[in-house]
Amino acid sequence: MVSTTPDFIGTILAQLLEKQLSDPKMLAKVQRWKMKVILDTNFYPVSMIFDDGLKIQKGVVDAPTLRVFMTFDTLIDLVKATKSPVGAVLSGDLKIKGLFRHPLATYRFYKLIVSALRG
Amino acid sequence: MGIKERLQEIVGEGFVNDGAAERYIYSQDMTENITREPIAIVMPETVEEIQSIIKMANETKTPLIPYVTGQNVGGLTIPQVDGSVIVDLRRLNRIIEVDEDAMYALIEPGVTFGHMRKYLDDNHPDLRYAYLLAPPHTSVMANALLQGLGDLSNKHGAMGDFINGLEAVLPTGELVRAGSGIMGDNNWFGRYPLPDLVGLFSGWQGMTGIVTKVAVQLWPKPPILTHVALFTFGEKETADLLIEIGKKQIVENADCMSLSIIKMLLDVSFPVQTYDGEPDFGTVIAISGNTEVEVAEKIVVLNQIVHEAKQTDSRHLLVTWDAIAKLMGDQANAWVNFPSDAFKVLAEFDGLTWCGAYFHPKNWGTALAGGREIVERHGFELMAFLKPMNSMHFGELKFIIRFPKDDETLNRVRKCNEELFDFALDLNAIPYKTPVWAAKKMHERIDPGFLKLIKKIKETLDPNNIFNPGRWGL
Repeated sequence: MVSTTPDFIGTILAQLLEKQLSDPKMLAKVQRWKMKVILDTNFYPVSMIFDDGLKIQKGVVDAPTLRVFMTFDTLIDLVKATKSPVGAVLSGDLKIKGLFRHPLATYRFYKLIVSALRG
Repeated sequence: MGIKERLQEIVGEGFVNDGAAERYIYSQDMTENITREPIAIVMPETVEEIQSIIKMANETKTPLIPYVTGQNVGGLTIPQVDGSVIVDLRRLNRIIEVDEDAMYALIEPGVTFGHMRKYLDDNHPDLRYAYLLAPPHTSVMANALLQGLGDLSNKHGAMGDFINGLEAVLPTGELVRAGSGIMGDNNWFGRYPLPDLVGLFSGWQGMTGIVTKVAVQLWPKPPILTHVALFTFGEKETADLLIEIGKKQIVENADCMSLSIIKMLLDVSFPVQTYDGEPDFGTVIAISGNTEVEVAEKIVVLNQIVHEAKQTDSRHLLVTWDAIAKLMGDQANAWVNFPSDAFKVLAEFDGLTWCGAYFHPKNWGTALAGGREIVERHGFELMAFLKPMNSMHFGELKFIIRFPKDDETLNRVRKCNEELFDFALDLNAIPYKTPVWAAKKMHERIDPGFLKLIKKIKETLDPNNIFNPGRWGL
């Protein structure tokens, strides 16, 4: 369902998202998405390409739909739910480039990633 | 009567084997060390049988190689001379006594870590023994006598320091005791104040007799035990941070490993590669206490240290275990229990080895960086493992290599380990579970008086040189 380069973040994201996409309804939904999201952490960036499935690769793809910036500390806060995604955006710990141009993509990515991170 | 028949007379027909398959199995371990077949394997069950085997060996000048479960990953039970008999001690597997007041267990050689843990959990749930960095079917006694390490070594040192005393059959057949057990049974509380004769058997790799009982220290099980993970960048930076943490004396255990090992646990397939930007190391840190407050306060101190390190590199990251469990799923446990749960992936091929040594803390950073360069140049996965030991007085560092045992790879492994070994010696480290080829290299560098002394002790204890001849290059 999810293919990835064998880097650290890609591997973890793939495992988390595999769990979400084991739900056939969710999988059917995600398979219809066409968007590219860069998750840009202070470790390194990974790109998530939604196109009839999900491919995660280390590095930056051209013309992303969204580019999400956050440190790994923020990502951990989101995992632990000590910070909400909205709170992180408001405090500037999480920045999303493309938020206003692609609100639907933002919403979809938000729903998927939050449920994946929270387990 | 031949040797086989004489051995059969001692232990019974069913416990002597000289079949080709058995000789082949006992001729090797998972490492790259050169194989050599024994002429037979004998499995005694009692001290008296061991004494009889030794008597026979002295008469026939038959070399004896003590063996328990063969998990040493150092080639240490491979005979160094032809005509050897392996003395497999696994049938001596009783836990003879657990003393809850003085907190020790008196055990026989065949008791394994899995056996010990289950026995203590079932019968003495408030006590624990260290858990090792090897499969659960490893011998507790062999690990202690080889001065190995476990999850309590961070606080209490090498496993040789856990020995309170022992009973052994000398190479000349006499049964002796060392430690406070010399005063009688049920009294194995310690080694001092006495001439420390445990040292005649600890670290000798089976060259000075057969230890038939060993008393090892147990420790109270802490009511609260939790883990955190530390991800760090840079060899020197990581070493400095671990030293800083260690000196605060708040950590029960810290196992620092190359990120490749953690990725391997996450099912990244062989060969695991490293990528720019990834943390170089992940350290799983155990913190224990009598109350939640005590543990929480220790984590506060830990956070402060990491926060300070972040001033130099903001990417260093301390993560509580609830988050790690979410990120890694079931594999979080495999990380805590490394390498017990991970042995199936570590042993993916028929070859597994490591070059490990005990290092002065000032050399950890250099050793991590230099070792990395050597391992990568030889084309192997980067799997460094560093464990601060004995409350930060020293540390064990090893580079683990898993490999298929084809000729080309075996040669490459040998060259890599030799280079790693030379590098460790250049840093005045003391190699751990030293194979013979490596011990010979040590001879060129160590104090000649020490070498002369151990030769003299060996000759005195074992005049016929029947115990593991050639081991340690002697």
